[in-house]
Amino acid sequence: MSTSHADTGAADTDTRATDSEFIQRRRTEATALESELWDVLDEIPDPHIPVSLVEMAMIYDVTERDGQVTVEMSYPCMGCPAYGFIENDIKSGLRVVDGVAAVDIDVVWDPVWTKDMLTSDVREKMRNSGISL
Amino acid sequence: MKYEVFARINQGDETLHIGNVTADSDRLARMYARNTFDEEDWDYLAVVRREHILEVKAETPGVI
Amino acid sequence: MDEWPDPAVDYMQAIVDTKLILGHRYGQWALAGPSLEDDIGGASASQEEIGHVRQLASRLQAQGRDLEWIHGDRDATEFANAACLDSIDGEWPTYMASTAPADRAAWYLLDAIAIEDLQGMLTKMGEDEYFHLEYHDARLETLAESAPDTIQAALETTLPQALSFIGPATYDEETDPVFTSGFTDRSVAEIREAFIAHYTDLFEGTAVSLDGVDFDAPDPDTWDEARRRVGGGSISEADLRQLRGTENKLFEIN
Repeated sequence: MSTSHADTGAADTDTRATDSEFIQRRRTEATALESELWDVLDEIPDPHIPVSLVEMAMIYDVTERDGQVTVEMSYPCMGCPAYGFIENDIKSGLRVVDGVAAVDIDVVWDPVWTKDMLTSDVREKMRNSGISL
Repeated sequence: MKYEVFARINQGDETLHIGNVTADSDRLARMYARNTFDEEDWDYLAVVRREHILEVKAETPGVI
Repeated sequence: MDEWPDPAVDYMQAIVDTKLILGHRYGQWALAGPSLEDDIGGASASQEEIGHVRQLASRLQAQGRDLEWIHGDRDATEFANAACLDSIDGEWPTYMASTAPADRAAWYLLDAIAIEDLQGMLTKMGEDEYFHLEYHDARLETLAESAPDTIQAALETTLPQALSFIGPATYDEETDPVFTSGFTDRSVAEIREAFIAHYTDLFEGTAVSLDGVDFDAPDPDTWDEARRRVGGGSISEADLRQLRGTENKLFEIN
C-alpha cells in the first residue's frame, strides 16, 4: 500500500461505475437454489434504511455446494453497530430454506462498498423515504 | 470562531447552507463539520468563516 | 501468504491491541470533550476502531489466535497495546497527546502491510483513519496554543512510547523480521522516520518544543518484541473488566 490513504482519504473512483454490474453479474450466474437464496436475502431489511441487504449492494455473492452456503458480503461502514444482528438475520433466514445445511458468512472488503453501487431505483426508494445518499 | 457549513448531496445539486460550527481553527472547523453532519454522504461539504461572508444590500449613498 | 511468520502475527496483535484500547479510550472520553463536536467525533472514532478490531481479529483467528483471548479473556500484561494508552493521567489535552500518537502509529504499521488479500480492508480503514488523524492534528495545533506546557510534557512521555510500539531504530531493511519476511513493504526504521518527521513538522513554530523527546527510544536491548514496549506496565484491571463487559453481561441481548 502507499502511504497516501490517510493523507488524501481518496477512494479509487475509476472502478466505481462497474461495481454495481459486478454484483449483478454474480447474481445472474446463480443456480436455481442460489437464486432462491438471493431472493430470501432480498427480503432481509437493512436495520437502518428501508431497503434490503441486496438492494443496499451489501451481498456480493451467494454460493451453494452440497448444502453448504457461503454468503460473501461487505458493509458500508466497518464499525457497523448492527453487524451481529445482520449476520444473525442472514443465517436464520437461509438455514430454513430446503437444501441448506449450513451457512457461512465471508465478510470481504474488495471491492470496497460505495454508494455508487446503488441502482437508481434504490436511490429513488430511499429518497422517497427521506434519505439521501 | 464561527463557521457556516455548506453542502450538496449530489454533483449538480445546489449548494445549501446546512448549519454552523464553532472552532479554533479552519482545520478543526472542517473536522467539526464532518463530525456533526456526517449522517449524509455529501458530494461536497465546505465551511466558511462567518466573518468572510459579505452581505450585499442597498444603502443610501453618502452626500458628503 | 496463507500462514504468517510469527513476528508478523505479533506485529498484527500489537496493532489490534492498540486499536482495541484506543476504541476503549475514545469511548471513555466521548462525554468529556470541550465541545459537542469533539464528543461526536470521539464516539464515532470509538465505533470505527472497534470495527477495525473486529476485522483484524478475524485475520488473527485465521492464524491460530483465540477470538475470546483477543477480545479480553487474558491478563492485562498480555496486551501489546502502545504503552501511551495504558492510562490517561490528566485532562483532555493529555488525552489528546496520548491517543493521537498511538492512532497515527497504528495506522503507519497497518499501511506498511503488503499482504495482497488485506488491501481492500486496509483501504476501507484508511478512509476512517484519514479523519482520525486529521482531527488529532487539528486539535493538537490548537492545544499547542492554549495548553503548550501540558502538551509538551505529555508528548515527552507518549511519543517515545508510540515509537516503542512502532519498534526500534535498529530494525532496518536487513534486520526487521517483519519486513524481511515480506509481510510489510517498509521497515520499522522507515516508519519511525515518517512518524518523527510528521510530529516535528506539526509542532514547528509553535510554543511546544520537542527538544526533550527521546526520539531514539526504544532501547533495542530491553525492547519486548511481543508487547512492542520497554519496561512493563499495562492497562488496569478496571479497563479489562470493561473490555470483557463483565458488569454488562446482565444486560446482554441474545
